Amino acid sequence: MIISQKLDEIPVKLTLVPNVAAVYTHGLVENIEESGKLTQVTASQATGTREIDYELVQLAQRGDKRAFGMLVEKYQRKLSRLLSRMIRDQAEIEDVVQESFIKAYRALPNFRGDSAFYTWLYRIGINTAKNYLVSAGRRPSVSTDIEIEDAENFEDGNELRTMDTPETALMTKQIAQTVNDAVVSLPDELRTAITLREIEGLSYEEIATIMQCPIGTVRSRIFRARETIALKLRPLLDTPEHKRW
Amino acid sequence: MMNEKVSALADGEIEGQEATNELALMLSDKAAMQAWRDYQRIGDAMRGSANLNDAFTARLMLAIEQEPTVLAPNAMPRTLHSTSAKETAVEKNHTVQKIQDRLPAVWSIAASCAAVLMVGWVLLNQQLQDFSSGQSVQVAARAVQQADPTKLVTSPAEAPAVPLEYLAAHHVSAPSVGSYYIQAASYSE
Amino acid sequence: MNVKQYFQRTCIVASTFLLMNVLVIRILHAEPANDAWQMLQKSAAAARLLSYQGIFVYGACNQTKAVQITHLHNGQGEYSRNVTLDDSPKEVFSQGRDLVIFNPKKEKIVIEKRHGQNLFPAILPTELEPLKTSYTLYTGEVEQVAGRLARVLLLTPKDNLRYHYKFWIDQEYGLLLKYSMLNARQEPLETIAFNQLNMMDSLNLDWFKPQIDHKKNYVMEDETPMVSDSSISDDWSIKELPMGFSKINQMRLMAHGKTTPVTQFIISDGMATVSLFIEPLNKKIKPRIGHQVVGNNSFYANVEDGYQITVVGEVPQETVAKIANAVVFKK
Repeated sequence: MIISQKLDEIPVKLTLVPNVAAVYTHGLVENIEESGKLTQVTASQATGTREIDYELVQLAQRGDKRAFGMLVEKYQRKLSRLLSRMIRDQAEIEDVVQESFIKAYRALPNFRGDSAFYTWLYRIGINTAKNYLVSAGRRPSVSTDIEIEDAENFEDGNELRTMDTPETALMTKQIAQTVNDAVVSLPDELRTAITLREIEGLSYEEIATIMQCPIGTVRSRIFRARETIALKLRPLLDTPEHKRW
Repeated sequence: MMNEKVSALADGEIEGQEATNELALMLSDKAAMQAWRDYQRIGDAMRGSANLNDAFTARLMLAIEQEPTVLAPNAMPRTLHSTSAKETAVEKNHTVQKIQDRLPAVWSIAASCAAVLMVGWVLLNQQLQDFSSGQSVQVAARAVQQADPTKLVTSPAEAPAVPLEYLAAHHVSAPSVGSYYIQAASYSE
Repeated sequence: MNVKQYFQRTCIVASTFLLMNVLVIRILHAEPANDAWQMLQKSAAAARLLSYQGIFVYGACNQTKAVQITHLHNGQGEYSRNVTLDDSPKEVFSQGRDLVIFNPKKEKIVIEKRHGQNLFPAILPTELEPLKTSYTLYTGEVEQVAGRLARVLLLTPKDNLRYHYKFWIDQEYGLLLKYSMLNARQEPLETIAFNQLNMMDSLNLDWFKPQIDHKKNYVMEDETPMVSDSSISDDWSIKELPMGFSKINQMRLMAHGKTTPVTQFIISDGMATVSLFIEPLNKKIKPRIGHQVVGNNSFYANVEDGYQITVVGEVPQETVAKIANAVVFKK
């Protein structure tokens, strides 16, 4: 397998699940159930995209709400995951995430690009969650002194113990399963490219160096991987409750 | 718009003016926006993210739609100069248009990099005089040259000025590759 | 430490090696080749004969413009529409070599007519032979443009009197995907590149019409009256132009605010074009002497024997002065 050959040349281990091969041959969901504990480094996805995020913010600041919508699509699940460490109930998390985005939208004129957008958003999210818990007279389930820097790299071991509603739990599992099955059945070079990008958070240039191919090839492989996975994902989402805005 | 561009945008691998252009294209293309959504979802799923109820996004965007549209005062497009005037972006665009109507013809479009700066300062200066909201505007003091309308001054130092009509005539008969899109100079209105 | 952190440590060393490799490979591949001229010729034809649409971006001197292009050749004629993607969209239509431009200016739209020949990507002359006098063509590497593979060709001047031109030619269709004009220090003066390109298979011409804005007035351009004129002057003549340059056209124009006509010569080496203006001195207008650079244009003005000479073009400063000096006055 391509990726394991490349790994031999690099004197470090990818800090994914202890059994590296397992990540790329078994679905993530299965692994979770087997080992019960998943140590996964969430790649700093947002760092490379700071400029794009800021462009979208500026478009929104000039009145384009669709641009804000693109930021919502990008960060809604990430923010939800962050806040799930403070709030257990899925329905409550959704309310807080909703309120956080609305607050962020209203506060957009104050955003000047001094920090990354997601940092600013996450701060709003955490403050909203804290206020929610205080007003509900509750203490958060985990310490609320979450450093924003950790938000990039925190461990997700607790996430699946969130009290999902049965529907969302099932949907989460289905989506994860579909995506992971699709990743696993990708041709080697596509799977490697998209994994290095989405899991390891490497830039195209870094991936090009690992895979020893031009950056344009990396870009094309990641795109083709995504399109292949999207093909399998879309039928799952194409039901009335998933109608797009 | 090619979804491959969306894929590269999602990874932050397009920069600068190209990124600005591509984002603008993406936002006017439903298929491209759907691709963005799908790719974000795929990445989140690969990292084991919990899914949000899909009605969630629809509900949220509906709420955003109903919010009064925010407009940030300093969010100017790339090619215009921003000032510290306390006005909305919409009002500012309108003000710039009014100003351009009043400028002597030779200033209507910049003829060189240095002149771009020059035009910017002229706009600012005019804005100080014409802007009717009564707000004070902080502008660094810089003398605006009152130019002879038939001459173009391309740098603050005194250089011999060449009438723009020669350049215009050159572009009429022998247009350069770029002169179709960026008018180097416009002297007759 | 994960892969990313490992990379951040070794990246500096690795990228230095990579850069050196790239430079060496570039030098090795740059060699004159006969089929390079053929490739360039094909690309000149492809721009006109193929049907395609896309978006390209023009960049020069800190300004950029995105332009959407639709170009069709239906066997009988060549049609194209360019529209700038900005707040005041400017539309350029071409049919064969005739151009009509809808140019928004404040509250009106000015309609301009041109007889033009170098809309991107059809920027090359149809006859490339004259270029061989003044330029050498080198083959560079293969690079990616707009998601397609393109071969780089370098049109290098044989002297310092003209700029360098770089062409990226699509390997599959031969179309010019990217173009750059560079100075002697290899700094780009202007660049045009496709961001997005698709071949068109429909012969539909529905797109070949302007977007009419009913709130605006449409006016024809104020044209400078101009006549083609090959008359020979008694007082002066043009002697030796720099190598490769020759007179393409000559006209007389009655310019704005002038009482006597100006003679304009169009002078070109096949790629670079310069205008030379000669007019009798006018007591009311101050004579101009000196060099000026405006964007990518070099100007030179001089006064001799009662005449004002002005030269302007997309060439280095030395060249406009040399062309001005080619005007010889009879005593």
